[in-house]
Amino acid sequence: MGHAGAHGSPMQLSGGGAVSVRLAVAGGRIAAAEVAARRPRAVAALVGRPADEAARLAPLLFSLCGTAQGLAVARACEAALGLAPGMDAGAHEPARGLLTDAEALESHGWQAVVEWPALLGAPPRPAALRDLRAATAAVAPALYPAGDGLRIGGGALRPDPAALDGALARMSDWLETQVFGGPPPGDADALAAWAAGGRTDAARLAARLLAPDLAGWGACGVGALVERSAEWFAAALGGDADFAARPHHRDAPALTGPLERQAGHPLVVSATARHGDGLARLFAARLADMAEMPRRMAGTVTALGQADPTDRRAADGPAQAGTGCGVAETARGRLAHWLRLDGTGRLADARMVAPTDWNFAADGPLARGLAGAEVPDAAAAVARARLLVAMLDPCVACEIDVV
Amino acid sequence: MCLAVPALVTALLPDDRATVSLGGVSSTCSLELVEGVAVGDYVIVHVGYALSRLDAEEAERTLALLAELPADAA
Repeated sequence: MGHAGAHGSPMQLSGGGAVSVRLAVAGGRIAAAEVAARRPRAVAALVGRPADEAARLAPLLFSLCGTAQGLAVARACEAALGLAPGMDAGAHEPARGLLTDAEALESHGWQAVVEWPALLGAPPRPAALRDLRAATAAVAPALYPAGDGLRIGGGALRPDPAALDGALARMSDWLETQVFGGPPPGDADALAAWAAGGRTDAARLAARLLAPDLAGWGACGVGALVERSAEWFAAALGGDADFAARPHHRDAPALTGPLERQAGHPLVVSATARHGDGLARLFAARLADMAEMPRRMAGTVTALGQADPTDRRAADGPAQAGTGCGVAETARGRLAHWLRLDGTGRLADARMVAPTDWNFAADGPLARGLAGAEVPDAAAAVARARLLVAMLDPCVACEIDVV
Repeated sequence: MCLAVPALVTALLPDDRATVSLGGVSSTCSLELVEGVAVGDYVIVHVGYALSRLDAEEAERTLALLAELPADAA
């Protein structure tokens, strides 16, 4: 939901960090691009608290991805407490995936009806989000009716298939009406035809991004993060307290988010073959991610079963010190929390790396996509940078200046 | 990353908007996405839109939590 442009009001800045982009333009190119992210060290507020309280508070701290934050902390605590082996993960994991998918789809929906119109100079349509929000909000109570879905050890999972099917049908209808104006495009030809039709804000933005001077603009050549395992993130975060300030995978920056998830999707493969590694590819990946979400969720619903909260009597004995890492997926990409519990079961240390840390790193996808990119003039540099920022979608405000 | 800082609704304005106070700084936001907001309620605001309404206890707990953050954290 990041907003590129002049959105640095005190309210937004006090609501979190900010990304600042400084461009130097010379000789028809962006000669230098400096990307700096000011990151709120919010996890510091969790240190000193008992594990259960930390897991309960984490979702309250973050406005855009509270469910993913809560689940990542819960998973980290489960790992640190040694609960994971006793949990009915086969039941809870699909349900947890649905919780984060619903949150991610709502976030994508915000992009489509609020941020994308703004990029086109059209009025944002937040009221259009109400139906989507009603559908995504129905998912958690249809899984964990007691409201304990983010509990450490898992809540009381009692899936209501009819309610879930109804919610998924409303999500699909919403996408068809508000985003695609029909079925989603399946390849580069369909994408071009859909863009030319211009029936929705998304299609009109596609038309702009498919313009010959923009479609391949912003190619960054940064590889996908790919890594999903808690073990990898545990080693990365546990071994470096400042990992999030300069996240790296195999000694290189990495990209996370829709393109990482959908790189093999037919629309993305086809758009990449035609337009290369730039704005059109990133946008195609966002469309594919959105279109696939209800379909993937429907597949997950068929795998659901009932489960009870894990019996923690064993763990409620003498508390043991330990570390654990939890990973969760958000609209913007992969989120990981690492924490250390002391001998009393309180958090002695807490670290996290969020998608914006990866995509807006000083040498990350945005910085590399901007550096050297062709621009006719300084004003175009800002406008194009704004499009690339929107395609990478920071979770904080973003300011772009030409120096 | 984007911290959910509860903002206190201080006045309701025409066109489904409100004046909110966030750490003493007054601003306005849209209420299009939340229903039944009254003066004295807390809301989470993101880029000019109230995203959700919090009950007072939840809001106070979050504010207390945020107040404990190190000075360079937000």
